[in-house]
Order: sequence, then structure tokens, then C-alpha cells
Amino acid sequence: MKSFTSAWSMRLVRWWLNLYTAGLPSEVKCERLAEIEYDVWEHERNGEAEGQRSDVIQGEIFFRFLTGIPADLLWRREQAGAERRSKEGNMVLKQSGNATTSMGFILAGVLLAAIYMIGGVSVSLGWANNGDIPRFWWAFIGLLPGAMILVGLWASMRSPLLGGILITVGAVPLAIMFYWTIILPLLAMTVVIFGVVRAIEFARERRTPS
Amino acid sequence: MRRKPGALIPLEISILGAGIDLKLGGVEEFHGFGIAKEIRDRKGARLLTAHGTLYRALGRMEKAGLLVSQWEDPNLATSENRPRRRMYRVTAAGEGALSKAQSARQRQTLKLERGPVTS
Repeated sequence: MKSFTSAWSMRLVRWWLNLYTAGLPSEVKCERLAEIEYDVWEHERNGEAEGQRSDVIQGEIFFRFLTGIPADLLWRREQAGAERRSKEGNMVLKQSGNATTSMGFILAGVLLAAIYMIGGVSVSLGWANNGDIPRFWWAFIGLLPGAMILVGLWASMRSPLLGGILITVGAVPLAIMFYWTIILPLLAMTVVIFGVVRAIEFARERRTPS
Repeated sequence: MRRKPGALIPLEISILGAGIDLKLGGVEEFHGFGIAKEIRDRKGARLLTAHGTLYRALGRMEKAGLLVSQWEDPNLATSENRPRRRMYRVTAAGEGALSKAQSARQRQTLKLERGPVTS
């Protein structure tokens, strides 16, 4: 698809769109992408016409993207449901299983990455207790695994095995370090289990002749 | 919480209201960003409706028959060097649903103004 804007906000929106529409029919995916791509394009043009600074426009787009994530995930669930209803027999069970796995996988992964990244940045900025480790390192400790999980989620669309490895490496060490929080090891376990199930599903699909 | 069948949520009321206002102003069709901007201006808000929230609502309203949409000619978008637009229009059912929602809201406001009935 032709790129109309190279701004980081558009790249982020596209990345997220590719992630939450993974596994949906390409027509649904392309329509969603085109519609939001036009919105961001028009938002940029409109902001420029109103004399807004570029960083303000990008910030607004980012805010709209961020606050729309829960609705995106609900939309994805509705689409998966609609697709499931439109098919029959074994195909239904197979696809609904895939859609549910993908949804749980994305949701748990994004949540865990967000907790790691926000947690790390909060400590490094002095919003939370940093213990003995210098503050700068906390940003690194939080952002790196968070970014690995997000990259892993993206990579899992093409290579579930590579994605699974990245997610596991990103999710597990901090979850072990903070085992006493309970929520972190639980989330990490969920992401890793979903990742493994998803990789097995993809491997089976490849082996099964259509 | 599940809502009553046929009942509109505030965002849907805003979309229909803004769409009808645009129509009265001579603009028959609108796109997602256009309606988000119209809603923001009408409310005097600072921020636009989030992407996910807006397009999920538009899709739901189209499914309910309150809006219809069509993709514009891709050649037009290419010639203007911009992405393609999906244009929406408020249907007669949408206009009916809005007036029903507005009168329900008025009735509720009147009830609140009168206060609880004491015997």
C-alpha cells in the first residue's frame, strides 16, 4: 500500500493496525487500514492548516490512537465473531480457536509490555521507589523487555516461532525478578502459553493441506 | 451493562446530530475525520474522538441501518495524492432514531426538573 505520510504516529498506527487485524480476511483488514490512514492524513493536513505545530499534531494523533485501543480490541472480537458465524462445520471451530488465541495473546502481550515500560519509566523519573539500582537503569530494564514483547507480537504475525522467542525472552526475566507481584508472572505465563499455542496452531495449519 | 435494543449511546447521538447538521448545511456525505471534527467543534471540546471508538461506532451504526457508506473512486484519491475515503450518509432510519432519542432525553430532563413525586 502506498505510504502517504512518514510520520512516526502513522507508522505506529499502522503497526498496531497490522497487529490487531492479524488473521482477519484481507478485505476487512485493508478497509480498516485505509479508513484510519485517511483519518490520520486528514488530521495532519487539518492541523497544518490551523497552524498547529507538528509535535502537537503528532501528539494528538498518538492520543487518539492510544485511547482507541480498547475499542480496537472489541472491534477485533466482533469481527472474529462475525467471521465465525459466517462459516460452518470444522472450519468454524478451527478459526474461532485461532481468533480467540490471537486476541488473548495480543491483549496479554500489550498489557504486560505496557506495565514493564510504564513501570520502568516511572522509577527512572522518580515517581516510584527505585531500590539500590540507579534510576537510569530502570528505564532500560523496563523499556527493553517491553519493546521486545511488542516486537515479538509483531514478528509473530509472520514467524510465530521467532515471535514466541522474543516474547519469552522479554517477558520472563522481569516476571521472575518480580514474582512477588503475582500479576507479572501470571501475565508472563499467559503470554508465553498463548504464544506456544499459537505457534502450534500455525505449524498445524501449514502441515494440513487446504 | 447491556443497552436496550434501539437505544443510542451519546457518541451515536453526536454522530447522527453532526451528520444531520452537515446535511442541512449542504454537505450530504461525511468521512470519519470530518465527523470527529464536527463533533469536537459542536461540543467545544479540545480533543477528537479516538480512532478505535469512532470507527467501531460508525461500523455498528451502519450495521444497524442508521448510516450507509461507500468507498470513493480510488482514481480520485490517487489523482489527489491521498488515501481513499469512506463516505457516510445518515439514513431516514438514522434521522428517526435521533429524534426518538432526543425526545426520550427531553422527557427524562423534564422528569428530573419536576423532581420526585410525593404523595
